[in-house]
Amino acid sequence: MSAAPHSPSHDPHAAPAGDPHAGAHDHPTTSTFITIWLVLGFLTVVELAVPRVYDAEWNRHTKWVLLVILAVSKASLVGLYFMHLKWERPWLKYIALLPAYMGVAAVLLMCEEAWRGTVM
Amino acid sequence: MDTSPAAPTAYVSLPAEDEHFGHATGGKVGMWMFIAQDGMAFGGLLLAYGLMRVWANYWPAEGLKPTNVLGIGLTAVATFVLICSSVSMVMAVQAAQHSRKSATTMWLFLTILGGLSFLGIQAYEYTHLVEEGLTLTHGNVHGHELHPLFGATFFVVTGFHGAHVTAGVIYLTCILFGAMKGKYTQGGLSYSPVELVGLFWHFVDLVWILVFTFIYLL
Repeated sequence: MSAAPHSPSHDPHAAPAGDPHAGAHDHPTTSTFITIWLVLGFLTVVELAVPRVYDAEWNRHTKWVLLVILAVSKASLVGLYFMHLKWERPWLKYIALLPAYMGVAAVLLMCEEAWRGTVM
Repeated sequence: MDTSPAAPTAYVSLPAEDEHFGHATGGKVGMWMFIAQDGMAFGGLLLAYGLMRVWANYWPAEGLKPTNVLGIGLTAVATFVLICSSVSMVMAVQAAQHSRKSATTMWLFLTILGGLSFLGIQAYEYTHLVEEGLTLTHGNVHGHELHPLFGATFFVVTGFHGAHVTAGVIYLTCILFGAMKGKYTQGGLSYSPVELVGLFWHFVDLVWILVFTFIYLL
C-alpha cells in the first residue's frame, strides 16, 4: 500500500470527495454499541436456557444446531459491529473470514466420521 | 523515548485510497492478518475437539453432560464480564477518536478490569475443578470416571484462551500508559493504536463466545 498522504483532514472518518462508498460510511454510535451489548446479553441467556430445554438424548441434535446458530450469531455481531467489519472494504472481510474455513473443515470431517461409523 | 506530542503531520491524514482495502491503515490490515492466523490456531483446537466428540461414545462420562461437571453459572458471569469489557473497549476507541483523554483512560482501565475479573474467575474455576479431581490427564468427578481426554481438552482450549486474555491485559496496560500521556488523543489518526488493541480484545471476546458454547454447553 502506498504511504502517500491523502488530502489532509483532521477527521479520520471524513469521506474524501469522489469516494463511491462515501454514503455507506455511516459509523456506529454509542446507541449502536449499547443495542449490540443488550442483544449479546439476551442471546447469552437464551444459550443458557437451550441445554435445559433440550435436555433429553433424543432431541440432542436440536440442541446442537440451536447452540451453534446462537454462537455463530453472537460471534458475527462482535465481528461486524465491535470489530467494525460492517464498515470495512471487502478484502478486509475476506481476511477476517479465513478462519471460518475451519468450520467448513469441521463439518466435512464430522460427516465423514459419522458416515464411516455407520458402515464399519 | 520522546514523550512530547509528536509532530501532527504524522497523524493528520488517512492512507491513500487503496483499491482493495480502502483507507485502512497498514496497522489495521496487519492486525487482521494476525487475527486470521490466530483464529486458525483456535480453529485447529476446536476442530480436534469436534472430531473427538464424534468419536466418543460418551462425553464426559456415561449419563453425564459437560454441563453437569463444569460450573455453567459462574462461567456465564465470566462470559458476560468479557462482553461488557468489549463494550468498554469500543467506548475507549470512540473517546480516543474524539480526542477525549480522560474518557479514553477511564474506558481502557475498565476494559483491563474486565479482563482481570475474567482471569480471576478462571483461576477460581480451575482451582475448584482440580480439587474435584479433573486434571490434564485424568478425571474422576463425583465418583464418575471421566473420558481420559475430557480434562486435556478442557484445560488446553480454555487455557489457550486464558493466555490470550493475559496477553490482551498486558497489551491494554501498555496502551493505557500511552493514553495517560495523551499519545492517542492528538486528533487525526493518533487514536489508531487504541483501535488496534481493540481489534485484538474483541477477537478474544469472540473466541470465548465460541469456546463457551462448544466446550461448556454442547
